[in-house]
Amino acid sequence: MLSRIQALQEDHSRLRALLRNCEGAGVRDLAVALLRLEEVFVPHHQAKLALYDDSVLAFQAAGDKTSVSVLSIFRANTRVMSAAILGFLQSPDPDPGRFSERFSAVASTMRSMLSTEEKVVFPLCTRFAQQPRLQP
Amino acid sequence: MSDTLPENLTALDDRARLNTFDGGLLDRTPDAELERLVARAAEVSGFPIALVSLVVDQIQFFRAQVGLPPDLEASRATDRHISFCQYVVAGDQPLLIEDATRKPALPTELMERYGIRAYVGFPLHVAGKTVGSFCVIDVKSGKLKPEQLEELSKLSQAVSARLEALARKWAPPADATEEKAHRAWMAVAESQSLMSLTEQFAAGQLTLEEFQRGLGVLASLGGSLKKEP
Repeated sequence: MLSRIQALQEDHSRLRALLRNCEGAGVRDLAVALLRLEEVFVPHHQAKLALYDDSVLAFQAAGDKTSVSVLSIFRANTRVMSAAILGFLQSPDPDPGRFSERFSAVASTMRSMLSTEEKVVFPLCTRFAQQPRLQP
Repeated sequence: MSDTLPENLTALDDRARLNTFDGGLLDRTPDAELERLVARAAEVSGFPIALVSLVVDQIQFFRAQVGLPPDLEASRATDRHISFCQYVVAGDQPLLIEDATRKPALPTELMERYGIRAYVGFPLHVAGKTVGSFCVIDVKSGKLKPEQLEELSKLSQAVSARLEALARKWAPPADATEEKAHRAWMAVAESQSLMSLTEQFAAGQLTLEEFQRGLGVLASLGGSLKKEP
Protein backbone atom coordinates (compact mmCIF):
# COMPACT_ATOMS: atom_id res chain seq x y z
CA MET A 1 0.00 0.00 0.00
CA LEU A 2 2.85 2.37 0.82
CA SER A 3 4.27 2.16 -2.70
CA ARG A 4 0.84 2.90 -4.16
CA ILE A 5 0.48 5.99 -1.96
CA GLN A 6 3.94 7.13 -3.01
CA ALA A 7 3.05 6.66 -6.68
CA LEU A 8 -0.13 8.69 -6.20
CA GLN A 9 1.81 11.45 -4.50
CA GLU A 10 4.18 11.55 -7.45
CA ASP A 11 1.14 11.83 -9.72
CA HIS A 12 0.02 14.80 -7.63
CA SER A 13 3.28 16.61 -8.37
CA ARG A 14 2.87 15.84 -12.06
CA LEU A 15 -0.73 17.04 -12.07
CA ARG A 16 0.23 20.30 -10.36
CA ALA A 17 2.90 20.89 -13.00
CA LEU A 18 0.41 20.12 -15.79
CA LEU A 19 -2.09 22.54 -14.28
CA ARG A 20 0.56 25.25 -14.32
CA ASN A 21 1.25 24.40 -17.98
CA CYS A 22 -2.42 24.79 -18.85
CA GLU A 23 -2.64 28.10 -17.00
CA GLY A 24 0.41 29.42 -18.84
CA ALA A 25 -0.43 28.01 -22.29
CA GLY A 26 -1.34 30.31 -25.15
CA VAL A 27 -4.36 29.68 -27.35
CA ARG A 28 -2.30 27.56 -29.77
CA ASP A 29 -0.82 25.27 -27.11
CA LEU A 30 -3.82 24.96 -24.84
CA ALA A 31 -5.47 21.95 -26.51
CA VAL A 32 -2.26 19.90 -26.18
CA ALA A 33 -1.76 21.02 -22.57
CA LEU A 34 -5.33 20.00 -21.68
CA LEU A 35 -4.89 16.64 -23.37
CA ARG A 36 -1.71 15.96 -21.37
CA LEU A 37 -3.51 16.86 -18.17
CA GLU A 38 -6.36 14.49 -19.02
CA GLU A 39 -3.94 11.69 -19.97
CA VAL A 40 -2.39 11.77 -16.50
CA PHE A 41 -5.58 12.57 -14.62
CA VAL A 42 -7.70 9.64 -15.86
CA PRO A 43 -5.39 6.74 -14.86
CA HIS A 44 -4.47 8.56 -11.66
CA HIS A 45 -8.13 8.80 -10.71
CA GLN A 46 -8.64 5.11 -11.41
CA ALA A 47 -5.61 4.14 -9.34
CA LYS A 48 -6.82 6.32 -6.51
CA LEU A 49 -10.30 4.80 -6.50
CA ALA A 50 -8.72 1.34 -6.38
CA LEU A 51 -6.70 2.43 -3.33
CA TYR A 52 -9.84 3.81 -1.69
CA ASP A 53 -11.69 0.55 -2.33
CA ASP A 54 -8.90 -1.58 -0.87
CA SER A 55 -8.44 0.74 2.10
CA VAL A 56 -12.14 0.76 2.96
CA LEU A 57 -12.12 -3.04 2.96
CA ALA A 58 -9.01 -3.11 5.12
CA PHE A 59 -10.40 -0.65 7.66
CA GLN A 60 -13.68 -2.54 7.70
CA ALA A 61 -11.81 -5.76 8.47
CA ALA A 62 -10.00 -3.95 11.28
CA GLY A 63 -13.29 -2.64 12.68
CA ASP A 64 -12.27 1.01 12.32
CA LYS A 65 -15.66 2.57 11.57
CA THR A 66 -14.52 6.20 11.70
CA SER A 67 -11.83 5.65 9.08
CA VAL A 68 -14.30 3.74 6.91
CA SER A 69 -16.68 6.74 7.10
CA VAL A 70 -13.97 9.24 6.25
CA LEU A 71 -12.61 7.20 3.33
CA SER A 72 -16.09 6.51 1.99
CA ILE A 73 -16.88 10.23 2.02
CA PHE A 74 -13.63 11.12 0.27
CA ARG A 75 -14.16 8.37 -2.28
CA ALA A 76 -17.66 9.69 -3.10
CA ASN A 77 -16.45 13.31 -3.29
CA THR A 78 -13.50 12.35 -5.47
CA ARG A 79 -15.87 10.64 -7.88
CA VAL A 80 -18.11 13.72 -8.13
CA MET A 81 -15.33 16.27 -8.49
CA SER A 82 -13.30 14.15 -10.91
CA ALA A 83 -16.33 13.56 -13.13
CA ALA A 84 -16.98 17.31 -13.20
CA ILE A 85 -13.34 18.09 -13.99
CA LEU A 86 -13.19 15.51 -16.76
CA GLY A 87 -16.45 16.81 -18.27
CA PHE A 88 -14.92 20.28 -18.38
CA LEU A 89 -11.67 19.09 -19.98
CA GLN A 90 -13.65 17.26 -22.65
CA SER A 91 -15.92 20.23 -23.47
CA PRO A 92 -13.66 23.29 -23.60
CA ASP A 93 -15.31 26.63 -24.17
CA PRO A 94 -14.49 28.06 -27.62
CA ASP A 95 -14.11 31.58 -26.16
CA PRO A 96 -10.51 31.81 -24.86
CA GLY A 97 -11.24 34.53 -22.30
CA ARG A 98 -14.20 32.72 -20.84
CA PHE A 99 -12.35 29.40 -20.92
CA SER A 100 -9.45 30.88 -19.03
CA GLU A 101 -11.71 32.31 -16.33
CA ARG A 102 -13.57 29.04 -15.95
CA PHE A 103 -10.36 27.01 -15.97
CA SER A 104 -9.21 28.84 -12.85
CA ALA A 105 -12.21 27.30 -11.00
CA VAL A 106 -11.29 23.88 -12.37
CA ALA A 107 -7.64 24.25 -11.37
CA SER A 108 -8.63 25.38 -7.91
CA THR A 109 -10.98 22.38 -7.55
CA MET A 110 -8.27 19.95 -8.63
CA ARG A 111 -5.62 21.51 -6.37
CA SER A 112 -8.01 21.40 -3.44
CA MET A 113 -8.79 17.75 -4.11
CA LEU A 114 -5.09 16.87 -4.18
CA SER A 115 -4.24 18.80 -1.06
CA THR A 116 -7.15 17.51 1.05
CA GLU A 117 -6.24 13.95 0.09
CA GLU A 118 -2.65 14.61 1.15
CA LYS A 119 -3.86 16.00 4.47
CA VAL A 120 -6.43 13.33 5.32
CA VAL A 121 -6.45 10.23 3.13
CA PHE A 122 -2.77 9.52 2.51
CA PRO A 123 -1.75 9.85 6.20
CA LEU A 124 -4.66 7.61 7.18
CA CYS A 125 -3.65 4.92 4.67
CA THR A 126 0.05 5.31 5.50
CA ARG A 127 -0.54 4.85 9.23
CA PHE A 128 -2.61 1.79 8.49
CA ALA A 129 -0.04 0.32 6.13
CA GLN A 130 2.69 0.72 8.74
CA GLN A 131 0.85 -1.69 11.04
CA PRO A 132 2.08 -4.96 9.43
CA ARG A 133 -0.55 -7.31 10.81
CA LEU A 134 -3.43 -5.11 9.69
CA GLN A 135 -2.16 -4.48 6.19
CA PRO A 136 -4.53 -5.74 3.46
CA MET B 1 -46.99 37.76 -0.92
CA SER B 2 -48.24 34.19 -0.88
CA ASP B 3 -48.06 31.26 1.49
CA THR B 4 -49.04 28.81 -1.26
CA LEU B 5 -46.40 26.58 -2.82
CA PRO B 6 -46.44 26.43 -6.63
CA GLU B 7 -47.12 22.92 -7.92
CA ASN B 8 -45.43 23.40 -11.26
CA LEU B 9 -41.64 23.44 -10.84
CA THR B 10 -40.70 23.12 -14.52
CA ALA B 11 -39.39 26.70 -14.64
CA LEU B 12 -36.43 25.53 -12.53
CA ASP B 13 -35.04 23.50 -15.44
CA ASP B 14 -35.61 26.11 -18.12
CA ARG B 15 -32.37 26.09 -20.12
CA ALA B 16 -32.44 29.83 -20.76
CA ARG B 17 -32.73 30.41 -17.00
CA LEU B 18 -29.82 28.07 -16.26
CA ASN B 19 -27.71 29.70 -18.96
CA THR B 20 -27.88 32.91 -16.93
CA PHE B 21 -25.47 31.48 -14.35
CA ASP B 22 -21.85 32.19 -15.05
CA GLY B 23 -18.66 33.04 -13.22
CA GLY B 24 -19.78 36.29 -11.65
CA LEU B 25 -22.87 34.73 -10.13
CA LEU B 26 -21.36 31.43 -9.01
CA ASP B 27 -18.10 32.95 -7.78
CA ARG B 28 -17.41 31.97 -4.17
CA THR B 29 -15.50 35.15 -3.39
CA PRO B 30 -17.57 37.23 -0.95
CA ASP B 31 -19.17 40.32 -2.47
CA ALA B 32 -19.20 43.24 -0.04
CA GLU B 33 -22.45 44.72 -1.35
CA LEU B 34 -24.35 41.41 -1.14
CA GLU B 35 -22.89 40.77 2.32
CA ARG B 36 -24.14 44.17 3.43
CA LEU B 37 -27.62 43.47 2.07
CA VAL B 38 -28.00 40.12 3.84
CA ALA B 39 -26.78 41.65 7.09
CA ARG B 40 -29.39 44.37 6.70
CA ALA B 41 -32.11 41.78 5.96
CA ALA B 42 -31.31 39.92 9.17
CA GLU B 43 -31.44 43.22 11.07
CA VAL B 44 -34.75 44.30 9.52
CA SER B 45 -36.48 40.96 10.04
CA GLY B 46 -34.95 39.96 13.35
CA PHE B 47 -34.46 36.49 11.85
CA PRO B 48 -30.99 35.03 12.44
CA ILE B 49 -30.37 33.77 8.89
CA ALA B 50 -30.46 35.78 5.66
CA LEU B 51 -29.36 34.51 2.26
CA VAL B 52 -28.89 35.37 -1.36
CA SER B 53 -29.69 31.89 -2.63
CA LEU B 54 -29.13 31.14 -6.31
CA VAL B 55 -31.21 28.17 -7.39
CA VAL B 56 -28.98 26.47 -9.96
CA ASP B 57 -29.15 23.11 -11.75
CA GLN B 58 -28.51 20.65 -8.90
CA ILE B 59 -28.01 22.91 -5.89
CA GLN B 60 -29.05 26.14 -4.27
CA PHE B 61 -25.86 28.18 -3.88
CA PHE B 62 -25.63 30.78 -1.13
CA ARG B 63 -23.93 33.68 -2.91
CA ALA B 64 -24.12 35.68 0.30
CA GLN B 65 -25.17 34.62 3.77
CA VAL B 66 -25.36 35.51 7.41
CA GLY B 67 -26.18 33.20 10.30
CA LEU B 68 -25.66 29.77 8.72
CA PRO B 69 -24.36 26.84 10.82
CA PRO B 70 -20.69 25.93 10.20
CA ASP B 71 -21.28 23.10 7.73
CA LEU B 72 -23.58 25.17 5.51
CA GLU B 73 -21.25 28.14 5.85
CA ALA B 74 -18.51 25.87 4.48
CA SER B 75 -20.43 24.30 1.60
CA ARG B 76 -22.66 27.32 0.97
CA ALA B 77 -25.11 25.00 -0.72
CA THR B 78 -27.75 22.33 -0.39
CA ASP B 79 -29.37 20.09 -2.94
CA ARG B 80 -31.90 22.08 -4.92
CA HIS B 81 -34.76 19.68 -4.44
CA ILE B 82 -34.75 20.03 -0.64
CA SER B 83 -34.67 23.84 -0.71
CA PHE B 84 -37.50 26.22 0.13
CA CYS B 85 -36.04 28.76 -2.32
CA GLN B 86 -36.93 26.56 -5.31
CA TYR B 87 -40.61 27.49 -4.74
CA VAL B 88 -39.85 31.20 -4.86
CA VAL B 89 -38.07 30.71 -8.18
CA ALA B 90 -40.64 28.34 -9.67
CA GLY B 91 -43.54 30.62 -8.71
CA ASP B 92 -41.62 33.86 -9.33
CA GLN B 93 -43.34 35.46 -6.39
CA PRO B 94 -42.61 36.12 -2.73
CA LEU B 95 -43.22 33.22 -0.38
CA LEU B 96 -44.12 33.47 3.28
CA ILE B 97 -43.96 30.44 5.58
CA GLU B 98 -44.77 31.06 9.23
CA ASP B 99 -44.28 27.49 10.36
CA ALA B 100 -42.77 24.98 7.96
CA THR B 101 -43.97 22.05 10.04
CA ARG B 102 -47.53 23.00 9.08
CA LYS B 103 -46.76 22.75 5.36
CA PRO B 104 -46.73 19.04 4.56
CA ALA B 105 -45.80 19.70 0.91
CA LEU B 106 -42.44 21.21 1.91
CA PRO B 107 -39.31 19.02 1.87
CA THR B 108 -38.49 18.04 5.45
CA GLU B 109 -34.67 17.69 5.31
CA LEU B 110 -33.85 21.27 6.32
CA MET B 111 -36.44 21.22 9.09
CA GLU B 112 -35.08 17.95 10.46
CA ARG B 113 -31.37 18.71 10.18
CA TYR B 114 -31.32 22.42 10.99
CA GLY B 115 -34.66 23.08 12.67
CA ILE B 116 -35.82 25.57 10.02
CA ARG B 117 -39.33 26.87 10.78
CA ALA B 118 -40.07 30.37 9.42
CA TYR B 119 -39.11 31.49 5.91
CA VAL B 120 -39.73 34.63 3.87
CA GLY B 121 -38.28 34.79 0.35
CA PHE B 122 -38.39 37.28 -2.51
CA PRO B 123 -37.53 36.35 -6.11
CA LEU B 124 -34.25 37.60 -7.57
CA HIS B 125 -33.96 38.44 -11.25
CA VAL B 126 -31.07 38.63 -13.69
CA ALA B 127 -31.52 39.29 -17.40
CA GLY B 128 -35.25 38.81 -17.05
CA LYS B 129 -34.88 35.35 -15.50
CA THR B 130 -35.68 34.33 -11.94
CA VAL B 131 -32.37 33.10 -10.57
CA GLY B 132 -32.89 32.79 -6.86
CA SER B 133 -34.39 33.98 -3.63
CA PHE B 134 -33.45 36.69 -1.17
CA CYS B 135 -34.67 35.16 2.04
CA VAL B 136 -34.70 35.36 5.80
CA ILE B 137 -35.04 32.26 7.95
CA ASP B 138 -35.71 31.48 11.60
CA VAL B 139 -35.51 28.31 13.63
CA LYS B 140 -38.74 29.20 15.39
CA SER B 141 -42.08 29.98 13.78
CA GLY B 142 -42.71 33.64 13.14
CA LYS B 143 -44.45 36.29 11.13
CA LEU B 144 -43.12 39.62 9.88
CA LYS B 145 -44.97 42.93 9.93
CA PRO B 146 -46.04 44.61 6.67
CA GLU B 147 -43.38 47.32 7.05
CA GLN B 148 -40.66 44.68 7.52
CA LEU B 149 -41.85 42.88 4.38
CA GLU B 150 -41.86 46.15 2.47
CA GLU B 151 -38.27 46.86 3.52
CA LEU B 152 -37.15 43.34 2.57
CA SER B 153 -38.81 43.73 -0.82
CA LYS B 154 -36.80 46.91 -1.44
CA LEU B 155 -33.60 45.17 -0.36
CA SER B 156 -34.35 42.30 -2.77
CA GLN B 157 -34.45 44.77 -5.64
CA ALA B 158 -31.02 46.04 -4.64
CA VAL B 159 -29.77 42.42 -4.56
CA SER B 160 -31.13 41.79 -8.06
CA ALA B 161 -29.42 44.94 -9.31
CA ARG B 162 -26.11 43.81 -7.82
CA LEU B 163 -26.44 40.32 -9.30
CA GLU B 164 -27.26 41.85 -12.67
CA ALA B 165 -24.01 43.82 -12.49
CA LEU B 166 -22.02 40.72 -11.49
CA ALA B 167 -23.52 38.66 -14.33
CA ARG B 168 -22.94 41.22 -17.05
CA LYS B 169 -19.43 40.08 -17.94
CA TRP B 170 -20.27 37.13 -20.22
CA ALA B 171 -23.04 36.68 -22.77
CA PRO B 172 -25.18 33.54 -22.47
CA PRO B 173 -24.13 30.53 -24.62
CA ALA B 174 -24.65 31.28 -28.31
CA ASP B 175 -24.69 27.76 -29.78
CA ALA B 176 -24.67 24.07 -28.88
CA THR B 177 -20.89 23.93 -28.34
CA GLU B 178 -20.95 26.89 -25.96
CA GLU B 179 -23.95 25.46 -24.15
CA LYS B 180 -22.21 22.11 -23.67
CA ALA B 181 -19.14 23.91 -22.35
CA HIS B 182 -21.33 25.97 -20.04
CA ARG B 183 -23.04 22.89 -18.61
CA ALA B 184 -19.69 21.21 -18.04
CA TRP B 185 -18.40 24.29 -16.23
CA MET B 186 -21.56 24.51 -14.10
CA ALA B 187 -20.96 20.94 -12.91
CA VAL B 188 -17.51 22.05 -11.71
CA ALA B 189 -18.93 25.19 -10.08
CA GLU B 190 -21.59 23.18 -8.27
CA SER B 191 -19.07 20.54 -7.13
CA GLN B 192 -17.08 23.30 -5.41
CA SER B 193 -19.54 23.12 -2.53
CA LEU B 194 -18.25 19.62 -1.79
CA MET B 195 -14.71 20.86 -2.22
CA SER B 196 -15.15 23.67 0.25
CA LEU B 197 -16.76 21.40 2.81
CA THR B 198 -13.94 18.85 2.43
CA GLU B 199 -11.27 21.57 2.74
CA GLN B 200 -12.68 22.77 6.03
CA PHE B 201 -12.91 19.23 7.38
CA ALA B 202 -9.32 18.55 6.30
CA ALA B 203 -8.22 21.75 8.03
CA GLY B 204 -9.91 20.65 11.27
CA GLN B 205 -12.51 23.44 11.09
CA LEU B 206 -15.44 21.02 10.93
CA THR B 207 -16.05 17.92 13.02
CA LEU B 208 -16.82 14.64 11.28
CA GLU B 209 -20.46 15.05 12.40
CA GLU B 210 -20.69 18.55 10.88
CA PHE B 211 -18.97 17.30 7.72
CA GLN B 212 -21.45 14.44 7.42
CA ARG B 213 -24.43 16.73 8.04
CA GLY B 214 -23.26 19.15 5.35
CA LEU B 215 -22.80 16.25 2.94
CA GLY B 216 -26.22 14.93 3.85
CA VAL B 217 -27.95 17.95 2.33
CA LEU B 218 -25.81 17.63 -0.82
CA ALA B 219 -26.49 13.94 -1.30
CA SER B 220 -28.12 14.31 -4.71
CA LEU B 221 -25.24 16.31 -6.16
CA GLY B 222 -23.11 13.16 -6.32
CA GLY B 223 -25.84 11.17 -7.97
CA SER B 224 -26.24 13.76 -10.70
CA LEU B 225 -22.73 13.19 -12.04
CA LYS B 226 -22.61 9.56 -13.03
CA LYS B 227 -19.89 9.70 -15.62
CA GLU B 228 -16.62 8.21 -14.39
CA PRO B 229 -13.22 9.12 -15.85
